[in-house]
Amino acid sequence: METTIIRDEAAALGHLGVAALKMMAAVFTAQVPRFPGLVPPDEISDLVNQFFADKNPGYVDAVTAAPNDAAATRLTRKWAERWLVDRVRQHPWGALRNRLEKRLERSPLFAPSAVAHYWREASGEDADRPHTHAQLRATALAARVDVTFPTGGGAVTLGRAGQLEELIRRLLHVAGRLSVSDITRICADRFPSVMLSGDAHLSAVQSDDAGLDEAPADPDAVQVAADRIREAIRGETLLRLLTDKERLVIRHSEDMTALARALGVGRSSAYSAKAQLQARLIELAGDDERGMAALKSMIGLVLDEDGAVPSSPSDDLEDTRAI
Amino acid sequence: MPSEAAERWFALAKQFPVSPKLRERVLRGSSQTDSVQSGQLRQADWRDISAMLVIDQVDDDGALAWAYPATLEPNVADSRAVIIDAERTPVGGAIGVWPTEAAWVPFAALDAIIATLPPTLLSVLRTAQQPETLLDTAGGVHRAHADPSPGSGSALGTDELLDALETLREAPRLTVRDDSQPPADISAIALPTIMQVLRVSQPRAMAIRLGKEQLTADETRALAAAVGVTETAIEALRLPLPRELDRELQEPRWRPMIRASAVDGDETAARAQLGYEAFQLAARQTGSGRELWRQRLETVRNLRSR
Repeated sequence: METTIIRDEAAALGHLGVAALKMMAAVFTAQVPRFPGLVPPDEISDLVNQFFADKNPGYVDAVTAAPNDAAATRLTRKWAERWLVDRVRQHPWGALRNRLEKRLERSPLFAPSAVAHYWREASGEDADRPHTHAQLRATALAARVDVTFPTGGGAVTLGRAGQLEELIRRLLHVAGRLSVSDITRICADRFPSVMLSGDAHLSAVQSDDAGLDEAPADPDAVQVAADRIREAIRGETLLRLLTDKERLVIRHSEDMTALARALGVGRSSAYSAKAQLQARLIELAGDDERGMAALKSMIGLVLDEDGAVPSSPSDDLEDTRAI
Repeated sequence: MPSEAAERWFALAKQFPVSPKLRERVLRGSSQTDSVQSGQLRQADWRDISAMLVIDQVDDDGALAWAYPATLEPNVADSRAVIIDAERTPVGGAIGVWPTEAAWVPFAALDAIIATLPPTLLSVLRTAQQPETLLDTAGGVHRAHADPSPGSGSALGTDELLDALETLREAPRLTVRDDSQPPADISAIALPTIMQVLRVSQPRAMAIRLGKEQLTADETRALAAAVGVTETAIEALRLPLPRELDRELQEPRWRPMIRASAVDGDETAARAQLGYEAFQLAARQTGSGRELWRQRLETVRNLRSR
């Protein structure tokens, strides 16, 4: 029997009542443990209130318009999940911003702009240049930055000496000057793993490809063969970093309908999963020629795998959402 | 929840009242008299998937609405979204709308009206269907600036909304068929036989014989056995619902009643059942047309709520 107590109460009082409060508390009590480290259990009620303040006035109308209590609960669960995702993202966000600010201050390449929190190239003038967000994004993607994941957890290293500075310098070259928040946003897009703190599979990474960086490009046949072997090894290393969900995305990346079905989501979500994977792959392998070759070798390995891919990765999905 | 936190919650609840129009609608039994019209912001749901829609156009014969996905959730938007500022909306907060992602949605997926947008706003949304058109931002309507970063709450919310639209589109559509089927054979079964086998009153037996009542599987089996014909022959006695009744049943105003009587969420069966109840009433009345069917359905509603 479907009940409409939440809606009836809202209509009678003109605002949400006890039934809605109970429902919200129950939703948060179930959701918050999926986001480890967010708050101690006794502070869940504070989260409920913060969510309530943040999501109104839209939330009240949306809950009242829901046809019954079950639908109101489903809506709250979804809104709460997204809100909690953003909250968790803010933690590493602040840390990334601090790291970037320190790098900006230390490097002689950059100088603070007259506008507070803005930075410019030390050799450039303090003025805006016309640019688009897409341009900045492309600039960030084109720069080579080696991301290393320390074994056993800990902070991810962004680039060897000078690489991150070079990326920021190129950004400032395009834009003239940028605020720390803008630079943080672009870097967060460029290095999504930095935002995925506590992501279990990252701790399994081995940085055993350090020697590969010294190999110069040489048309010599032996050298070519050696390169291929290295690409293959690097491909295998990359393969170990992928989650089951990411392997599924690679398998079905040519057919969005099949991908949506395999992931158990709609097509829009499938497109997003593909875009997310692309960003992560570039971040993992770098998007220079050699990185691409390693990626190709890895994609080959995934496509050769048979039956090793689970058909319903719902657990894994929850895991990646609950970053 | 600790009492201090609960007090704070109640203070917030009072600070954010339900939009007066929405409250009024819920109080007087939601959308019972309102037909689907362009400009409405409606709740829509199908198979436990919900979304909000702005109705742009209505295909009245086909019972379909050309609708834009929309949300009241703050901070959920991508570069395709158009945001109507809170000051301009008929609800308490801002509304995010995706005019470029419009789709035909069957009436069967539509639910209560949340608000109605003024025609000027609707025409701005129509203009925004062309992604390149510049919007007059002075009117309190603007495009969202950029795509949210992947994996953020905003990106998840947008994906979920557009995925929901795909589900809503798959709600059952009105099947158009012609009304010229021959009437059931009245003399096929004697009235007392029906009364005896199914243990029903004479008026109900008459309705069954006229093909105006839906029999359960058990009743069909019993009657077939008693008369000595196949079950298919009994089922063939049942008249299809008149087209205008079928069409009226698609209106969202009957949805709460259909949902309330649906077994295991089977709204299609519940809708047919409601239709046959109204059809039975017509056995003793004359006249047809959408308006008359509406009145008969209204009568069924009153009978059911007794």
